[in-house]
Amino acid sequence: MFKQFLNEVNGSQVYLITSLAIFMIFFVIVTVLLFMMKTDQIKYMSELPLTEDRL
Amino acid sequence: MIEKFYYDNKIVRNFAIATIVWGIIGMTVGLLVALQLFKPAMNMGSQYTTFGRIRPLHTNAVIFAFVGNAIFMGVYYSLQRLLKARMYSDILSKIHFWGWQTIIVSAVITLPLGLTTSHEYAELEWPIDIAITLIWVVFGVNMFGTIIKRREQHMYVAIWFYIATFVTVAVLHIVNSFELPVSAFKSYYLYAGVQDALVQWWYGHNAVAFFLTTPYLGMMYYFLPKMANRPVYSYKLSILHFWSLIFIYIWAGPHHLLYTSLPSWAQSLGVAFSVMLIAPSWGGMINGLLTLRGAWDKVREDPTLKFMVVGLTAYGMATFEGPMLALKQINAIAHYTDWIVAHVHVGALGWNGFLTFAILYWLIPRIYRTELYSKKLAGFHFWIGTLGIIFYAVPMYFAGFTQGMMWKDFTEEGMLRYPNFLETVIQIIPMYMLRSAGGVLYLAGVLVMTYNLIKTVNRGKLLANEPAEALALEPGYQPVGSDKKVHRMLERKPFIFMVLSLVVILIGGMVEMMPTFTIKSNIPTISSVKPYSALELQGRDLYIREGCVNCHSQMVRPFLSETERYGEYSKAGEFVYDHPHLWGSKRTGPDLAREGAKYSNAWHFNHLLDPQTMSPGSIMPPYEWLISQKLDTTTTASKINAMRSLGVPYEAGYEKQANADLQKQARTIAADLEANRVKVKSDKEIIAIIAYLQRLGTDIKAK
Repeated sequence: MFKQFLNEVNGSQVYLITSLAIFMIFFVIVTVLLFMMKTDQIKYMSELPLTEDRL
Repeated sequence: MIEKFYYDNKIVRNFAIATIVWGIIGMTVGLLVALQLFKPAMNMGSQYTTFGRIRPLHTNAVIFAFVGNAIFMGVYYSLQRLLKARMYSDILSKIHFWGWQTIIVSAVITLPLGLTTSHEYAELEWPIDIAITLIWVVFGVNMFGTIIKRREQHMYVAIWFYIATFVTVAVLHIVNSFELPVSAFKSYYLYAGVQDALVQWWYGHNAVAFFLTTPYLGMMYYFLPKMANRPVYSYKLSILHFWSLIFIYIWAGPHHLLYTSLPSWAQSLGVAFSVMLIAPSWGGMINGLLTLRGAWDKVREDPTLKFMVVGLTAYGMATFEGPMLALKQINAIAHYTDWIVAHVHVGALGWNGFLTFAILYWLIPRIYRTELYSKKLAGFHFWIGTLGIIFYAVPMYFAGFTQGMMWKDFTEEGMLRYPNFLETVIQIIPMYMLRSAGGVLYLAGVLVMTYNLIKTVNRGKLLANEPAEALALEPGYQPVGSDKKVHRMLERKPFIFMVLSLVVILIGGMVEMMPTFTIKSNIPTISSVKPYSALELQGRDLYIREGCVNCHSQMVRPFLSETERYGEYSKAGEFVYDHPHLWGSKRTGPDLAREGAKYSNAWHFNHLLDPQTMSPGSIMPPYEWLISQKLDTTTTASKINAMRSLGVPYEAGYEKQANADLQKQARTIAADLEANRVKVKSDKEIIAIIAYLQRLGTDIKAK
């Protein structure tokens, strides 16, 4: 029932390396964005559970 | 403008009660199956309480009923407070609650009846699958509705975990539930063999990730700071934790299929990402434990924190062990043994159980406006629970390691040292006994907690609608101070956030699955592999009904120790007509992939009637009802039709002669049995299951 339109995989390592590369790119982006965050913002966010009564 | 509103505590209370009730039921069934593993007579002679049928009941009850209700309890409590808003709709909350309980009740009814899809942790049949989808959507609408009408601009990281949970569980459930209904409670999966196994374990692994882990991490990030009265150790780490965890987890499923017929590149991919998974997992654990920095004196006093600390430690142990078990060399020993059972229970009893207990002890007194009835009893629960986990896990590790090594042991002459599988089972039976003692301790702790909480409830009064007030959220975005637009767009826009989470989790699933589904060379076909005969197909469905797959794998791995014991290793092409696959994940009994033609029909008959007569010391239960029950042949035609539409090449019109064909084969088997002094009518269920067992693996078996 699934169309089988390709006939072979040219080397499995392509899959591995591409997958790891996708993750690395993703991870670097997240890390860069993280370091760009401001300290007061981080503080505000981390205190959210403790400041339920804050108006 | 300050707005007054009320938090809905009643729905939280309802989910809490459901958590406790289903927890006790699920664990009691767990104890019952544990007892059957050394005393088969504990099935009480009934097919409805026999291991194969109630082991799925145990797993479903503890995962979806106990942990499921605990998730909703934690989410409904924390979401309202983090967003400073009542749940979006009381009616949706009620539909969600009662809908979920109805689903669980339907599982309690259908699983003992043998109505099962046989996909592990997704055994419920198609009508219940549809109900789960609907109720899950109700939960999602209620959650997103609350997020939209919130009074707090920013979404705390706990909510991110809740959103990821909602999205991913929806995707997992839908993809893993593509079934073609044959009757009201019987269906066949669209996928077959290798593809089916890949989907099943992509689902199974990520059910652990997104049902047992991410919602609990969200709850940890909310409740732990509340309990310790200090913010989480590092909020930045929690963000990194979140994104890397949801990205990596989804790729790791194939580690459940190492050395099987799954293409090797998919296996390697699963291993690589499983090893990477330790980083975000431990990031989360460390973040939790370090939240308690400077508060360790409180841990000594406060039972809730004790539960949290051991829960987090158990999480750390399980997530260290997971990547380790994903290494091929270790997996070769551990897979199919009780090692995996130990691993799972460290996570379930330690991480999910203990976090749930901590939250219950913390939350119930608060919504009932009173103090916990007895701290001492809670402390007792903590110790007996911890002992329970140790008494459960240690014997299981020992059993798993012992049996895994025995399976692989050769004599100097190059023969299997333990050629009789049963020897390796008898060796570990004392461990099975110890394990159930661990289970008794753990369950006793839960009963003590229940008593303690009932006493607490009786002392206080439920504050069903808790008053609160907060500033209304201004429409439109106004940057304040150092507020930068790009940075926090995500946490302010829940739908973009949901879509991004969806994209992140889809990448892994697609890279893994697309090639296996689309590239022909990944599943080489074998010309001698033919569809099952009508009788064998019916027999296979009985095998599914009885849950044989819970104890018997059908996958010979390419190891000398396995080919010597079972025969030729399994090939991907052998399973192309298997809707669903029945590879299994545990060998309490031997593998059956090459069972066909190994023993006589009469041997199988006598073995199913009373396993101990053929294999003294066996812990397999007797299946005498297969001899008395008549095979239902009214379904044959619809089953053949269904299989044909799934791509199994039955000839056109075969469904019309299928039953005649079935009876012919049945009479041959009955005649053979009679020749061996076994008298049984050819229309009984046992004939079909013998036909199926005798077919197993024979398509490519060397004559």
